[in-house]
Amino acid sequence: MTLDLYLTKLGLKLKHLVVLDVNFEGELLKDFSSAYPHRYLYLPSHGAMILEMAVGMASLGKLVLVIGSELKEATLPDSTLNVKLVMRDKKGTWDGFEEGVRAFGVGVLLLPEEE
Amino acid sequence: MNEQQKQLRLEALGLIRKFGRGHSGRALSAIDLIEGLYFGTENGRHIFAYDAERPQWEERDLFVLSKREALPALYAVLAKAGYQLPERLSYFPDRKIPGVEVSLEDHAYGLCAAVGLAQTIKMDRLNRHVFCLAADYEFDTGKAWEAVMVAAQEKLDRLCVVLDENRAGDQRIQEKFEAFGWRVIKLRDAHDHDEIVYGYMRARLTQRKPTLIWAPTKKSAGIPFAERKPEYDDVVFSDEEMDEIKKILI
Repeated sequence: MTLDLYLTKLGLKLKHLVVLDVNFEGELLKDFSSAYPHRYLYLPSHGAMILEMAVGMASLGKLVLVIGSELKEATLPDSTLNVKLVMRDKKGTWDGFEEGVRAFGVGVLLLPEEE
Repeated sequence: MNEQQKQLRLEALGLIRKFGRGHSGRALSAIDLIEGLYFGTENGRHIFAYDAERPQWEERDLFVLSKREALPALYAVLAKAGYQLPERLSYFPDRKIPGVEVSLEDHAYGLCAAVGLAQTIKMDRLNRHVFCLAADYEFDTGKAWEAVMVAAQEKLDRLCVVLDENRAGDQRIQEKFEAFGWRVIKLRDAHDHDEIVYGYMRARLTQRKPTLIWAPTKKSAGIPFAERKPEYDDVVFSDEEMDEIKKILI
């Protein structure tokens, strides 16, 4: 299962799911962006402001996933906002990923390094 | 300066004295810009949609205070507008306080969050506007310019940023923002209520691009002995100084 396919399916259930992609290697979620063009923003070289932008979107009820960021942790002055950093990591796992996306508040979700 | 602007100055300075710290000069440079937004009307209707009795009203416009030093000025305006503020007010913008939309911590944080709000308004096709008051020094950070770029790229026409420029003027502000694709409205007198309100009215009509209201303000505006004097930027006025200020304003 790829992240793209997984989020495209999840996007059907979670109408407020929005993805902000800041990686430099091109759009990571091609299926998601074609299925939900208004819910995917590809903003390479905008890593400095991306969490704050996510804060604004989450303030109006969006569930925001940030991918491709070089940030290692998500710390925000308001922990009640639904903003999640998605990162690749050796310790990452797909188990509980959907619950993690749905969970209330700010957080970091770790996925395996290989798709 | 109208009576309300004078009264709000006293309220804001009173709050700074209550906190025991603050940025009097910087709060007073911004206070008229906030007052104009909340109290400006066109044909009897507020240009900024809000309901003080229902701070979370779903159709309200949004005001984001990116310039944290102006928080006492915002509190004074919110109280005057009828918001029920708690007795103990936070020194930093906190979303738990009615009328404060975003909790802030860093420079340009509010500006970037305002872009996120405007992006959501565009996504959901809502009939709402976002106004953001930013300080000139916030544009010394890279993230502020990233936000400027995103707003232009996404054509966020529901976003209006008010630049409180109270330091020696950067005459290329208009050029820079226009180069990014913004509309720029420069105020001739950034402390005149009617001029400010007219600026907001024009900003609301902008289409397909975000708007910058360029407001060249004066620190400690309205207090002649402190106006534009750096030594009064971050002071808490003494009892004697407050007596003098009251004589000037009342």
